[in-house]
Amino acid sequence: MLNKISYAAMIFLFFSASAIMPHGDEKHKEKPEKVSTQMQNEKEHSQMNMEGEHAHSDSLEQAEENEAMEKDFAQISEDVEKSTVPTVIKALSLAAFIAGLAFLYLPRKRKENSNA
Amino acid sequence: MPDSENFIEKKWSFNDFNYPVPEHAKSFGYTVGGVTVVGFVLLVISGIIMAFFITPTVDQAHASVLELSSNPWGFWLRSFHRWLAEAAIFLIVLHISRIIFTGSYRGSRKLNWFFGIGLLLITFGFLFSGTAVKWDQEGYEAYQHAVESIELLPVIGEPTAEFIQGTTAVMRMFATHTLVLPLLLLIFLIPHLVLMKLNGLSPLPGRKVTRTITFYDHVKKIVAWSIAIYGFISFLAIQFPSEIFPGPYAGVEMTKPPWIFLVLYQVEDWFGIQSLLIVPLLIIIGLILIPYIDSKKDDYSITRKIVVWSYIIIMAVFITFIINVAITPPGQHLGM
Repeated sequence: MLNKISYAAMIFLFFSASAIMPHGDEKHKEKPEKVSTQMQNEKEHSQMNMEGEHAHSDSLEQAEENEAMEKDFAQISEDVEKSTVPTVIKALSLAAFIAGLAFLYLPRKRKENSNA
Repeated sequence: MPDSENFIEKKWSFNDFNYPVPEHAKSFGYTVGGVTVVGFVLLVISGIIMAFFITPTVDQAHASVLELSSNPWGFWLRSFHRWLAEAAIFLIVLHISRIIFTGSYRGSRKLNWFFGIGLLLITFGFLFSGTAVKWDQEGYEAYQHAVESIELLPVIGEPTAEFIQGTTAVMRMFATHTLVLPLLLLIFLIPHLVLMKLNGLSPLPGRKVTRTITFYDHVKKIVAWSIAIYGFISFLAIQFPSEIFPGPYAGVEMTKPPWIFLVLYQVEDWFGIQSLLIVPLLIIIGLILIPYIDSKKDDYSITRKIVVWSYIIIMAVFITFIINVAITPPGQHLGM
């Protein structure tokens, strides 16, 4: 009985996913907009010059920004390394690792609870 | 003893869990499933903490992830979460391998095998949506691959792709990652564990159970392995932190997906984006068919050998793909 109920539940679950019609925001229904495009449009909007023209960023600009963001993460990593927290975490982690292995492999008094 | 304690002792006695299990339950192969469950618990805990700091919008998600990482504990937590996710996939592969090598999908365990396949798919969903939520170049490329492949699906493809696109993309990935998938995980994991209890631990092929240990001893092994493995993962997370890529930028492909998706990356290189749908479908069909192909109780049957050797060969091919992609520069797939 449990098997039958479980089979029925599984079939229902799999078919229910395809039965649900996805519903997006109505404003995006006519023309799906790529998120990157939306983000780009927002950026261009903020870069509008005095004549109201958009200042289009080219691939070189993108590459420069790209590099700047990389530096951000690299900078974060450097800052974190300077603090004592990573050392504490490493010590605790290795302690846990060794404790786990010790529990598994250190010989202990064998319990006589085996049966046939 | 007060009456209430008597009631608890009668109805909820922990001794009920102290039943005998075969002695091989203490081997690593038979504890790896439990270790994976512990990994999921750690993923949920670390994920809940991170959810308080992530802003799931297209314009703020990336910055909020960087902001979280600017705190040393947040830096470790995010990296640990990612390392745990990749380790969970690895442990699941080990778990599946053990089940195939011991033929533990046969007979009454067939239904549990199907729940396991469901859990595998849910885990892949977690890894994908988690990668997309951070909304860096890696996340964006993963998301775009999903959108372009979903668009190829008949009938539901276009509306589904439309649903996940737009300014709500990250929010919907976040909802999937933190609400939909955890719920599905519970729906599949609970019967998986209950059926495991009902069926009992599977025997070793060709051997009869002669000695037993208690279920507590089995749990102790799971806990010990978990402490060792996740302690090591925690060390790796701080020593080799999971990178936050810049971006995201459209039209550029400079990252590679998490290691398990490198298999799909290789076939996408050869056969195009449609292979992202076809290959997983073939793998799922293959996994579903295994208990039907190898259904005999005979541990030495020819079908059993075919299943085991086919699995070994396919895994060898997948590992070759992963290594091959890992050592070659990223290629252009999107919009092709």
